[in-house]
Amino acid sequence: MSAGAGLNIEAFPRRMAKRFQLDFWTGGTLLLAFFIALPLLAVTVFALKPSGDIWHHLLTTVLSRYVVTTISLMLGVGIGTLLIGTGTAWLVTLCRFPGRRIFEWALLLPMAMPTYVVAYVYTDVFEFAGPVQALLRNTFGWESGRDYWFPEIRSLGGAIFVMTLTLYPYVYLLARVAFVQQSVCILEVSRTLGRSVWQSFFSIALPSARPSLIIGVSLVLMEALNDFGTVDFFAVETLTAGIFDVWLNMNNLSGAAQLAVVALCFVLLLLWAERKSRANQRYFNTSTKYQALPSYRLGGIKMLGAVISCLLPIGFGFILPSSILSFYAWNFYEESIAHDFYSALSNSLILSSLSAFLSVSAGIFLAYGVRLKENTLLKSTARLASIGYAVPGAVLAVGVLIPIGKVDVFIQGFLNNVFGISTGLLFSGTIAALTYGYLARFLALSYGTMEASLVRITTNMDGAARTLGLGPGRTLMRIHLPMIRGGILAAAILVFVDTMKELPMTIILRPFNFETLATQVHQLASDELLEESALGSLSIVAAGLLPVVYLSRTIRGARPGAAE
Amino acid sequence: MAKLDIENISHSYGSKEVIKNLSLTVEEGEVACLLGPSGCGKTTLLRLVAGLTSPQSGRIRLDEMVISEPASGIETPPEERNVGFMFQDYALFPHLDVLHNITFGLNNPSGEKLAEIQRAMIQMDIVELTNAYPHTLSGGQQQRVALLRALAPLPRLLLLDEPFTGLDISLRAQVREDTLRLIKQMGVTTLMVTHDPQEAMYMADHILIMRNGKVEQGGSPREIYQFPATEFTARFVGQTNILQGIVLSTGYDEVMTSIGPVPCLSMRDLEFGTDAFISVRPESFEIDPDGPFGAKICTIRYVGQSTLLEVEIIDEIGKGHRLKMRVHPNLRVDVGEEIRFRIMPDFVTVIEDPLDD
Repeated sequence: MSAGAGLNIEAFPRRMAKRFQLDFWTGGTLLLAFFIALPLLAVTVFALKPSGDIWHHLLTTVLSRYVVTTISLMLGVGIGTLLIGTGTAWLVTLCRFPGRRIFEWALLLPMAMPTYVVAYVYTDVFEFAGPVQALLRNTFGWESGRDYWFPEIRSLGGAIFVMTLTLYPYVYLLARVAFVQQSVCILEVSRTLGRSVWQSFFSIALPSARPSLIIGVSLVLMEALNDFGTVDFFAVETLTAGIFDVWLNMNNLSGAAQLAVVALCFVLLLLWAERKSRANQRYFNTSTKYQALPSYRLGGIKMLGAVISCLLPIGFGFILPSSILSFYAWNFYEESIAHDFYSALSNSLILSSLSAFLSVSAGIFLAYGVRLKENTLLKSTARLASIGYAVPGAVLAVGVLIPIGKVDVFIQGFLNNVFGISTGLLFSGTIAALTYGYLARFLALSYGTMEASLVRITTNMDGAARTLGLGPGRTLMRIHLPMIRGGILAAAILVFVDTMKELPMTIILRPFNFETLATQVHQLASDELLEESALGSLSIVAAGLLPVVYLSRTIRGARPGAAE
Repeated sequence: MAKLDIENISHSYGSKEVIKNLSLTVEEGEVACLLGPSGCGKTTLLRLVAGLTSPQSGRIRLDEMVISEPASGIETPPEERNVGFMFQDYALFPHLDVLHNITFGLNNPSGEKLAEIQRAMIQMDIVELTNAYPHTLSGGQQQRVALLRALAPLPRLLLLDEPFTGLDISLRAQVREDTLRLIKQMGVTTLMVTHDPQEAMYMADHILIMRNGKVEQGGSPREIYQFPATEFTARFVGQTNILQGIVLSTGYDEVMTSIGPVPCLSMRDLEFGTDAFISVRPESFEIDPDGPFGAKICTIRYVGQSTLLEVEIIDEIGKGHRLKMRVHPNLRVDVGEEIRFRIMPDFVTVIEDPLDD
């Protein structure tokens, strides 16, 4: 009896080990995913810890204002981007008018513009001393601001205006892919059943594209929630601005963490909408028959309307601001260089390369680890680690500060007690902390791309390499990496450019006196030195054009059975 | 070369049990074939043997060495099993040319080894493709590259997953012949899976009929065809007529059926007077004007090498029974014509009660 029991006890842990083998890949994947998700977990735990009466204080003072402003901003930007993005996507996909081929990709251009850069430029253009109001005063002989009314650009409305201009391409992109992939048959059935082109659009095309549109708008709203440069410059009190205020001006980390948790509620809502729509997306492609999309040739006033509808967002979102920036950059070149342009540029390039390298490496490791084990625990951990893209940079920054501060205090205390040395803070306010933040925020970009690339490789490839004597690591090096190098490049570009543009996290986590292009541009613009900031802004825009070129090339091939 | 023993293996995907307590043995140098309909667990079994999937219970031994036994925590990773696997989609590495695909499993191959591979490429008629990339190859060429790649490291065991399914019918016979010749020449123990009975009979020394995660019957191609143990096996490897009756013994083995006494080669030790079901292959019938059976011709299908007839035979109580028979293609008959015939015992066998299924 006792011998039998002994045997069972011995067999039990072995069987457990079999079910869940904790080998290098599984352990590594779990550890890495936890490390990347840590800031998010930290900020949540920290905020929910009872800490005096801050919740009550926040609630009675600023919270409602932050929340109302944030909701208004999201509502405005959501409606604006939906109208522009969907409208232009429909025009260039199904109508024929002069310039359509150019508009197809040119409508993506504003994506290269960081919102805060556009905000700085338009403030310069539309403020009281700016050229537009000066022109009006000269033309009509007005003397002062009391003689006429002009909308104030540094306002909630202004923020909605510039965010709509730079963020609509997300909706445009997804709407266009949805329209391009839509079966023509259902549109034609609608026509034969007596609906006009426009009726068909509203009753067929638009409803079937709905999941894609919701995804696009969710992404836009995540960006709007993330934005710091614009709302700071325009003094619009959103939750992100609030986190900065509470952390940097009041030096209150737990208050910042609590605001961050409120922001996270918005994020969860957006994520839920996005995930749900992604699940719905596939139900809307019912027909497998594809043929060339019909093009409705537009003439006369309709044609003119279409051209103007496409020109306006490109003009205001890209051409005008980049022209003004180029003009300033050209005329104030020496002054810009004098403002330490090159050190900011090299800092930006180094940080962006580091961030791209780390994110892509981590993305490959996670995606491959999940692929190897087909384990739901691994899958959901990796998914948790890639929530970062939806979380505002300010929130993640606070989340990075908490664990890093704890580690610093621990190390310092340990060294002080044991060796009697005082080290100061080792990680806080270093490149390491900043890079950690970038990894937490941008991992999703690389993980998603790597996952999508790996899915396209049949698992029989893995099987073939393994039975021919290669272990999992060498299989990755010799089979997968060479096969997904295109995806690796794409992911690296995406992360590189997003790091270059990143502002809120960089401001909070950067070392003292450390400037990147983004922080320098923000600083100069805040000091009313737009002319000197133009060269830096233009450099960020130039980098931002890379993924636009990449996207406009891939979107052409999005149509199944596309015949060029 | 090695002997493969699979003992009481079970495997489930989630709650779906795909392999149910399955055991089989492949002898050294033998070509064994798992034959069954799609979804019966054939490919899963190959993956278990290769180590690409881990079983939940049971034991797999290669050359008496345990390579998989969940109960004792043994699970040799695939790269240490030295088992060659040819996938149904071939899984050639698209970024490597033909030569690098074939030599992928070799560490710094010697000049001698490379010469050996070149000879094999000449034999398989792909030597001029040495530097070609997989996407430029035809299906037949890809199949041969995949086969050589699996064989190049001299595996102890070769696993073939539906090796000829991706090929045009016109190509299949030639590739099948080439493949079999190479395998036999190397003497490698082989386990292949297919859903095509013709292919299984052509290739295999030993056939294992698989159904719902279990081996239904094993034997040589002749045993499987001549003496199917169940209605499933009988119908899966060819056409047949299933008749019900009672075991008689009048000098030689006979089963009394509703159409009369039918001679039967294999009685499966059934005793006199017991109920029995028999499978009568269409080849069992011989046209004979003095034969004991008479029937009316219902349909005639001329297929070249033989003619398939469907005839109706009326029993004593006036009930009609349809029988399929294969006759010489020279026989000229018409629909509605009465014919007389005998039944030869060689392709008649007792099967298990289909109702027990």
